[in-house]
Amino acid sequence: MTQKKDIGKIVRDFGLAAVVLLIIIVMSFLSESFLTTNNITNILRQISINGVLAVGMTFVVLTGGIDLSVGSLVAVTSVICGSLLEGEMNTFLVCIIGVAAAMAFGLLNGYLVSYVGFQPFIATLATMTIGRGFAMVYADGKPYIIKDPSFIFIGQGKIAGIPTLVVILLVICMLGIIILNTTTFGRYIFAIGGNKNAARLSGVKTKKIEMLVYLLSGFCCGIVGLMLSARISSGQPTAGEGYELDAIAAVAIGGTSMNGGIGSLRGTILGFLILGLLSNSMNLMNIDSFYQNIVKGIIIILAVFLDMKTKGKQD
Amino acid sequence: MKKRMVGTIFAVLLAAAMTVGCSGGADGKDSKTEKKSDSGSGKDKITVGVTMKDNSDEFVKRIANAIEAEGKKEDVKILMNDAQGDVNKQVSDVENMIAQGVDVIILNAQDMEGSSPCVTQAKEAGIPLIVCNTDVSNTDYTGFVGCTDQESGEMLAKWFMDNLPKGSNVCIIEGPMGQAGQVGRMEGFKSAGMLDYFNVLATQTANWKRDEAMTLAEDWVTTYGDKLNAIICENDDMAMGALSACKAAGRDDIVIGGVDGIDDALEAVKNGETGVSIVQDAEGQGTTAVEMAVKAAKGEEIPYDTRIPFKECTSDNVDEFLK
Repeated sequence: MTQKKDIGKIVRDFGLAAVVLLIIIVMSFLSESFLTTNNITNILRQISINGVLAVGMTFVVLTGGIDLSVGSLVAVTSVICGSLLEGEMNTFLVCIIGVAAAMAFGLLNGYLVSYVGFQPFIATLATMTIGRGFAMVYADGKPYIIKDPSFIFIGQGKIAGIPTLVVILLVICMLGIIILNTTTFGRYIFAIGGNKNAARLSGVKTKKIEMLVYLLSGFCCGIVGLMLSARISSGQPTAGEGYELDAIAAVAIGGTSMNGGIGSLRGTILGFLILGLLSNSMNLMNIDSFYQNIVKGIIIILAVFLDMKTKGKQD
Repeated sequence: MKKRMVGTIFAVLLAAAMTVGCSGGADGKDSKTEKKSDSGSGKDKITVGVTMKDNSDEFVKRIANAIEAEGKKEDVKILMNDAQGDVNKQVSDVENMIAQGVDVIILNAQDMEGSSPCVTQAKEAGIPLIVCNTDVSNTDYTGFVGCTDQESGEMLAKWFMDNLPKGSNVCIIEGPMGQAGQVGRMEGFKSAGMLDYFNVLATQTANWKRDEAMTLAEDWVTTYGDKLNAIICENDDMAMGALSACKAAGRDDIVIGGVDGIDDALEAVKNGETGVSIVQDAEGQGTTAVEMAVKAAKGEEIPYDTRIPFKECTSDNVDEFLK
């Protein structure tokens, strides 16, 4: 049984990997600049932002929840960092405070969902609007200019030839995979998503785990807040608008069930790779952004369809 | 299940009734107390209803601030509404302001077509309406204050045509498709003849956003390589995004320009990183809009079209703009 399940999963991920490969092969014929080092670095840099958010989102979705507030929390971190850096505070301290602010909102999400019993959609919808409003009020609607070179290094620098953004993405992905696949916390997340009551009855502290999951998503938002602000050298209250949808799209394409319990980070990684590759390819071919939206939607439909088919095989 | 549904419907109805009842009551009270206090002070304080398209946009916010400041100076009551980039909210804001009985409305249109109903509604209610800064396709308003987006497009186009050889390879980053700023500035590019003068490699929207513009510019720098001579942006935020991408790629030869004159764009012009910023006089527009609104509310004649001229900010005159 478990073996069959694993085979289904592998077939599915293989399908996604094939899509990635297909895009790469087709594009290398269509555009000569596609497979250049420069462009590959571009793609990796461009997916890093959505990638980190999608990792956090995967944890939330696996418990059967959803986090709509991620885009707004990115903005919260962005404006806080922007203002503190204008005040010439120590860069490291600024990063800590910025990420902590997003985590505080994550904690609020978790508290509302797990202890008060709000539906995740509603709780995070509320914090999404509060977060955006907070960022606007805090910054008075204006962007901060960021000049601190060590902060900007996060978004524009390189470590051993690899852009810092990409290094952060790799670290977050690896940490995510380790937490999800090797710790009891990770196992409990799957258990809660599979059957919350059964998990609770078998002694899992479901409330605490759920709360931690939203906190984790908040942490990812904070990290992205640093990454994005450093990338565009400014702390913007409008930063991250609509990012929640891209993150959810990556998770859905990656085959994580929106009902929770089933899914993997491996899938999510392939999901945001596909999204990033598509957007880059279509920009290289100068395809109108309206068509880009249509293609994105079709890909989501196809991926979920593929998911249903492979799951059908298991039964 | 049924019980719960009935309960829910009842609760919703109750809530709706309460909202209507309360807001009605509050409004009634408000207007009464206001009239009282007004008659106490001896004169009617003019109420100016303002609807801004999106106060999270730095430039729009500057106009809004100027309106608030001028309102204080003229001793009128400013009712500031922020449509938050949503044309639907803007239309309801105007409906609400008409219901509240404002004396005059200042409209900063979110959408050229979509905001047109605002003009019709004000006209029907007999309330004068001043359009500030953005074009709206229904021109049946009392007066316009600002500069048209087409002018800024033309100025930007002319600067690039003066400073780059004919046939140069350029990319254009546009605002959200269909928004007055995008439509007008593109119209300006066309009327100045820029689209024929240059070889346009690509045109894409970045929705006024810095990060989206940066992604586009990164992709273009890779695709077109050394061929790419300039990136022309419909606003400064996007120009800053394009600049970051070019800097990261070590391409200081790509000429970049935008519209709005935001702080870091001016600084980039000063440092020679970008070529030009077409600057709108936000304060002038906000202040003049309030002046016109007050006159219109008092029933005085006002000019139908008041232009606040654009200024071209380049390395020659950037210091005037940096305060």
